[in-house]
This record gives sequence, C-alpha cells and structure tokens, in this order.
Amino acid sequence: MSGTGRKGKILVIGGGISGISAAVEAGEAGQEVVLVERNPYVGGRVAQMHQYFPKLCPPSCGLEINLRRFKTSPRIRCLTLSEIQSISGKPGSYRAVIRRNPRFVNDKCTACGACADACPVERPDPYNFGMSSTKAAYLPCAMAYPMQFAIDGTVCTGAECGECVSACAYGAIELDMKPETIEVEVQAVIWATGWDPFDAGKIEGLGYGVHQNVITNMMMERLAAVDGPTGGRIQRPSDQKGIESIAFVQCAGSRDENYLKHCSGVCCLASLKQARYVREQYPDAEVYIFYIDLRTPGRLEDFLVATQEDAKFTLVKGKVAKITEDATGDLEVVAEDVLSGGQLRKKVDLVVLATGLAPANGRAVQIDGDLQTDEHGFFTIEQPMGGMFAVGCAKRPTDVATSVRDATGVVAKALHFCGE
Amino acid sequence: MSQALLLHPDRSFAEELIACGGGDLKKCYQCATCSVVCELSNVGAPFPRKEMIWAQWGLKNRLVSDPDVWLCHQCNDCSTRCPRGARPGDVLAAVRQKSVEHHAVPNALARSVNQVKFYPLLLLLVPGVLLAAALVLRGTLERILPLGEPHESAFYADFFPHWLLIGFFSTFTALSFVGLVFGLVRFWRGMAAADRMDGKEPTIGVGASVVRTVKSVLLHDRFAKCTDRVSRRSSHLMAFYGFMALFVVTVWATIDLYLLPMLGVESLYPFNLLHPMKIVANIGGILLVMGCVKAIVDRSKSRESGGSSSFDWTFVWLLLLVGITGFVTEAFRFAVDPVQRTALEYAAYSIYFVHLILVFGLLVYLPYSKFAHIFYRTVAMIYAEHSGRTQGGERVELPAVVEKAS
Repeated sequence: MSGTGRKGKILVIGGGISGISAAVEAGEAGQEVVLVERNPYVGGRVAQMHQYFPKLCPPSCGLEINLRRFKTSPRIRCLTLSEIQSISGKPGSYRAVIRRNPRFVNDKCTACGACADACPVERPDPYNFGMSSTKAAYLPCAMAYPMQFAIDGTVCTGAECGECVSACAYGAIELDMKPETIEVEVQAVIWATGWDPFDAGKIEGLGYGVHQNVITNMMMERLAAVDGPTGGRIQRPSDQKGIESIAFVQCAGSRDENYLKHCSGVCCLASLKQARYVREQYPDAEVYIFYIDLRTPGRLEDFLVATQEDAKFTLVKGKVAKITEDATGDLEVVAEDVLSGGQLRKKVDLVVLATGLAPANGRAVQIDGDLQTDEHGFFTIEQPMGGMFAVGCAKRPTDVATSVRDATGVVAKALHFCGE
Repeated sequence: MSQALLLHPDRSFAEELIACGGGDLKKCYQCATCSVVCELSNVGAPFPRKEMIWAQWGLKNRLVSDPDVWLCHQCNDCSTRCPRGARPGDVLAAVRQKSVEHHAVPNALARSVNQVKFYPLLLLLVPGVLLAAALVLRGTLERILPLGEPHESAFYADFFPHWLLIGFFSTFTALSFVGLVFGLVRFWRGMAAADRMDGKEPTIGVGASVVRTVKSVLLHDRFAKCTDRVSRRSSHLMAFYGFMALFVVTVWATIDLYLLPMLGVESLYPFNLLHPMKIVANIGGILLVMGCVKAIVDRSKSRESGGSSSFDWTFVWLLLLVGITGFVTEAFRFAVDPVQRTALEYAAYSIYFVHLILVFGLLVYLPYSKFAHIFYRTVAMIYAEHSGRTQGGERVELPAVVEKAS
C-alpha cells in the first residue's frame, strides 16, 4: 500500500473494532493517525466477546488480525487512557486537546505480573462486569494492547504502600505519574465511540441487580469466555450451579420508549448464539427465548433455522415483563404466550436479559460547531460540519462485520480532507 | 386445528375507539407487556393484549361482548409500562363506552347522550321542560285524581308535591330501566356466544357467581389489586357508598311517607337532623361529594392514571353537582321559616328545580352514560365468575409453541 499521495493526519476517537479498523485503513492509505482510547487497552466491546455470530469464531480471529495490522502500522499513534477534551477549528484543520490519564506504569513493563502479586488492594473487575476482581495493579485483559499492566488510581493507596514499586524488577512503576495534556493538529476526525450496554437496572419488573441470577447478555459473554471469571463455564452467579434451564429475555430495554426507543439490531442473533453456548456445555439444558419479533435479516436467518433444529430450544412470542425469585435463587419468568393467548410462567435457573446498545457518545467534549445526533442519540451519518464522521455503533447499533466494512468506507470519505 | 375463521373487521369501529380516548391504539405491536403487568389479568385469557389487536382490527363484536374489558379498573399500569405508548388502559375505557352504547336501548339515545354537543339539550333542557310540564299539569292532575300531600309541613312539597315527584321519576326511570334490562340481556348473551365460539364452557353456577361478585363489589377487592400510581379506589369507595346510602334513604323516605301510615305507624317525615336516616343521608352526601372531588382532582393532576374522556368527566361532574345542589337544597329547607316565608323561598325552589334536573340527568340517562358501568361491570363480573376466567384457568405449559421451521 503506497497511499493516495496526499499526506495528512486523522484523529480516531475510540479504539474498539470500528476505531481500530478505521485507523488501520487510514494508516495503510498513507495517513498519520492518532487514536484515542479511554480504556487502558484497545479492542473495546469485541474483546469481551466469547464468540462472533454467525460463524461462532472467537474474537481472536478478526479482532486479532486487525490488531496485528494496528500494532505494526508505523503511522498510528495509539493513546490509551485518554479522553478528548476539546476540538476546535474547521474541516481540514482541527486542533484536538487530549487528556492522557496516568497509567502509573511506564513502557518498561514486561507484563510479568509481579506488581499484581505484591499489590494488597482488590477491586471488582469492570472487564468482567464485576463478576471477578483484580488487584489495583492489573492487566486489563488477556489480549491487551499495549501489553502492559496499569494501576487503578481510584483504589490504589499510593506511595505510602509502594509494594508494587519494590516488586517490579524493571523500574516500570511510577506512582507519581501525572495526567498530561496532548494537542494534535488533524485534518479529519472519525468518531468511533461505540456503545455501552443499556443499564439493565433501570428496567422495571425484571429484577436486574436484585435477583443475582438475572444477568445481561454481555455478562453471559464473559461467563462463556475462556478468559472470563469462570474459565468459560456457564453457571449461576448465586451458587455456581450448572444450567438445567435458561430463559433469554429479548428487547430488555430496547424498542421501548421508556428506555431505548430503537431496536438494538444485534440482540436476537446474540441470544441465539448464546443459546448455542449453553447447549454446547449442557446437553440436557432447556433453552427458552422470549421475543416480540425475531430479527434475523438476510443470511442470518440460516442461523435461526439451524438453532431451531435443536429439540431443547423453544421460542416464545411474548415479552417477559415480570421475573420473581424464590429462596433457592430459582427464577420464574412471566409472559403471555401471544400465539396461544394464555399466561405463561416458567421456572428457570438463569435469566439472560438481552440488553440493548446505548450510544456511548454522551461524554462531555467541547467542540466548535455541532455534532448531530438522531432521536436515539446516535451520531447522524453525515455530520453538518465537514471533516467529522461517525463510524460503526457510534452511528447505529450494528454487528462486528458491518462495523469493519463501515470503517473502510468512512476512511475513504475522511481522506478527502487530508493533504493540501 | 386448521379451522377457518372468518373475521369481520370494522375499520370505522377502530376509528370510533380512537375518537373516544383510545387514540394511541395503533401503536401497539403485541408484545404483551400489558397482560403481564396487570394484576387483574386472567391466567387463561389474559388482557389487554388481545383486546388491543381486536381494536386495531375493528373486531367490534368481540370487544362489545368481552367481559374482560370490564374486569379492568383502569389503574393504567399497562399504559405506563407499555413500550410503545399505546395506552391499553385508555383503549379499554373507550371499549367500555362503546359497549354501553352498543347494548343500550334505544341505541340512538346512548350515542346522543355521550356527545358533547347534545349535553345542553339532553342533560338540561329535556329534563327541565319535562319537569316544568309536570308542574304546569299539577293542578289539572290534582283535580282529576285523588292525590293529596301526606305531609303539609314538608316545605318543598308546596312547590313539587311528593306524589308528583315519585310519579314523575318512577315513570321515566322505569322506562329507561326497561331499556337497560334489554341491553344487559343482550350483553350476557353476547358474552356467552363469544365463549361458545371459542369452545369454552361455564364452570360455576350463576347463583354462586352473583354471591362472589356482590362480595367483591362491596369490598372493592379487585380494585384493591390495582397497583395504582394515583389510587382510584378510595375515591370510588367514597362515591359508591355515598350513593348507596342516599339510595337507601330515598327508598326509606318513600316507605316512611306512604307505606308506614297505611300500617298505622306515624310517619316521621320530613326527618329532622338527628333522625338516623337523616344522619345516614348526610354522611352519604358528604362521602359522595368527597369521592367526586377527589376523583376530579386526581384526574386533573395526572394523566398517568389514565386519560379521561368526556364520557368520564360528564358523569363525575354530574354526580358532584347532584351532591352539591342536594346539600344547598337541604340547607334552604332549614333556613326558610315554614310560616313566615320570604324571597328566600324562591331561591330555594330554584335550586331544588336545578337539583331535580340533574337527578333526572343522572338517573334517567343512567343506562346510556358512564353510570351504566354500575350494571355492565357487575354483569360482566358475574359472567367472568360464571365462565371461570377469574378462577385461574389453564396456564400455557412449555414447550407448547415450539416453532420449527418447515
């Protein structure tokens, strides 16, 4: 790849699959890229997944391919633990102010883990949605890039403890590291801010946060993942019991004007996929999916049909609006079976809420001009001010493959603003 | 069970429901959240999800002969939890209005009474003219018939004698109640026919169903299951028992006036303030007014507890005004000196006349207005017990609806 011949610089905000893909494409097209990621690692939501649909391959295929291109690209500057503070200027000439938060670990880190062994402080691990814990000195995830530990400044007791400093043989720990401000000049900005799982605790009647065995679909991904809190065994949080029956509650918060008005687009396939995870681990487990409408467009229909071949798998048209728990932690889901018109109560071991995708672009960034969002809070496809583009789930809920393709197309648009 | 079923959609009926409070019914996408959040919903045939699709399709016959719409006390939890803002609670209220109008005899009267433009004519002018005519004819009637006032001392009887009052209201109320009975019989038959079509058999005898229903009405126990955000139960209890007390007193007053003298017992009419019946009447009146005021305030404050149509508003205001004019009339009775009468007398007669007009509007139009719910809801509750739909019913057992791709 020799690029377009026009040299410029592009700012990519967000280091998930969309941001990584955009950065890689722009870099390979000959542009300088600055990628800003809030977390201490890149990979975003995809890194947390157990498998992709419909091929059921792990994220190490796909994400890792792009991650390798990302790591080896000489033109990409990756700023983790960083947030945009402001963007000023005009298309073709933007100045972005970036705040880089301290990692407290420098580039000498070899990820040996001695700091974590020495660290006395435990914290719930946000990567596993609190289902496990790490030390305050932690490696964000198994395939983290950069492959460096980080120290959680919100719980670390600082220099007065200093156990990690003496444990580190490489002098990689700097507990007095300060936030720094970085300014960059770019021609175009790509917003790849992605999505947050909708806060299931807000949903009335489903008992998330009250009943321990009601979990979200993202928690299910972590439960099934080999690098997850249970080493990949799907089990109940309350008593580590295996699964004899499980219910998936579709549209938990989505297509609901009280919560997320939009259809999150991927949850039907995600639940069908997770049904397969369960059936693979438990040959006798019963799986129920409660839906309003099943949305499996195009060739994804084949995945639905193949899943339905399984005699232990049942689809019920009717939204679960009530979940109760008994003393043993067993759950009862209540729905109306719309096709037969009767009330239905089903006892299950575990309930997975197919929580939707909420736009993650709500964080305060001062910019010149308007960033336009649609009625659901996602960025509109074309921003009114030229030189700014949204990609992937920042724009609409979408699957991984579509996000990657979208990134390529958006970069082609951004290139117009690069160079002289 | 590949049985052909011919549906007769009536688009104009859907439009009618939209016009009288069910404006959002087309937003429903049949998720059935409503049927689950409703604490009153039946197990065997939950509502209001099925009613929503019937309404969208304009299946008038199903809706007007559906007892389930009357099992709803409109707490509107379904509406606040509805993901689409389709407001099922308000749609059911509209269906209830249409059900009353559908069954009423004569039908045209029901349709007119519930139209805002006919209120001045039907609710005020017609009873006004009829009452005035009765007053004009009074002298003639008294010459022809041996009608005497049993109590000379009854103040208002000078203006509107009791024989005229009782004769007038009995005649008109009886006429409208004949229509009501026809309507209720049609309603019952409609419900039974719909269940037969669905292959459902009654499970409990009518007598036992009546007993259960009366108990439920007296306790308002189904009402208590509603998880109201703004409680309607307390205002309904007050208005209900207030009205019932006044009804009992009215019946007793008539007995006291005409029946007791025949049996040789001295009539105590008109009751003084400490007479037990007068105490019951005054407490009943206060409850009625309080119930109506609370209902009006609650509804004005919050749409959350349900949108109110003119069907609702007319009824609750009429009831309140009957209560208020009743108290003013009573106050005048004690204010006016029965011997040395003054100009106050004419004010008293005027307000009494207005009170009688309003009572006519309330009682004679009962079968055509929202007041009809006192009968339709009761009959529907009896039928619901009779048909067994409130007694658990069959729950769907999984896997019952495994959808296998063909």
